[in-house]
Amino acid sequence: MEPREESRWIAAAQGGDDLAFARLVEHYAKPVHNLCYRMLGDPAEAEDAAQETFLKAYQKLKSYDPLRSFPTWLLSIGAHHCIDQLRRRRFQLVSLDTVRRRPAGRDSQPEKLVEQAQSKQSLQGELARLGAYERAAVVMRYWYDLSYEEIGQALGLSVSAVKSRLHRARRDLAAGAETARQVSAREGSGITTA
Amino acid sequence: MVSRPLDPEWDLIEAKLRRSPQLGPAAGFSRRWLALLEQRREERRLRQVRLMLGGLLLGALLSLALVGVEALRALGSPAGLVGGWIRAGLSARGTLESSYLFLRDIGGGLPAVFGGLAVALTIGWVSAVWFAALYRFSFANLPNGAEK
Repeated sequence: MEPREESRWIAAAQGGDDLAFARLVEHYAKPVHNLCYRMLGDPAEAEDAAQETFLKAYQKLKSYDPLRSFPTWLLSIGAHHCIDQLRRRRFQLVSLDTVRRRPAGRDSQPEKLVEQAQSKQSLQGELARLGAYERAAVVMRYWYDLSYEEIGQALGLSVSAVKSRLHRARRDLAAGAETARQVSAREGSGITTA
Repeated sequence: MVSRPLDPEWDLIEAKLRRSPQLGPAAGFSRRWLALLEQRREERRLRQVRLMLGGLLLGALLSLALVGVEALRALGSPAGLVGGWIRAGLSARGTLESSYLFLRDIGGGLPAVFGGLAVALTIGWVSAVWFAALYRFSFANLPNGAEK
């Protein structure tokens, strides 16, 4: 979509034209859905989050600043929505963990360890290790090539905070991958010696 | 900067991130979004109607409470309240009696044909309303308030 065409659709949508905004939804569905999926890790939740993102954007459209990039503005709304979802999910998980008591030593079973290693090797598994803001920063940086300034603007962080969060994310991802590799290697050598 | 021993791991992950494609939603996403928008609007309309009705009911209850308090204060006591009802009843009875006497005197002075005319007009009016209602609800099968 050309910038002029995009501006025309935005202006029409600001005037209350639902179909004009539906055109924008159609055009930006993929990047917004991808952001939600990479942040939440579940296709059904990603679909709901993407729908909510566009609803929020439609409601806030009057306050949209045309000087800002429209896709970055959409991604900003999507990222904040997903961060809220992750916070809620974390709270729910903590509540469940306090109720459910796991049998001792279950996680030390070899099958479980291999399963964990495989999960960590997958991309979503790696991303799931990160905090909500780190995850959003990584997705924005590596899927959308946004600058530090744009990421900061989208997440409401300073440039130095973005750099620091990205550094932390890289460190955690690398450490996770290293651990997963070591576990796999240990399991592999265990199988051959048996 | 990533610490030295983790650099190769980070390079692998970065390459994996850059290689990963963008995952789009299932087909018909914008159509589903339009449906959701309409559903949310309907929900908001219903919420507004409920709020408005709730506000009206609350206002009516408050007004009733205020009027009731004022009325009770004017009466002074339960005995005064009972006395007030009796006085109102007597007053209504007096009004009904005088109306009856007035109509009897008027009716007595008019010829009998006026009485017959009044009865015929009443029956005609009631029948017209009845047939109109039958036409609208049974024959035309139109819901209340719908236009033809």
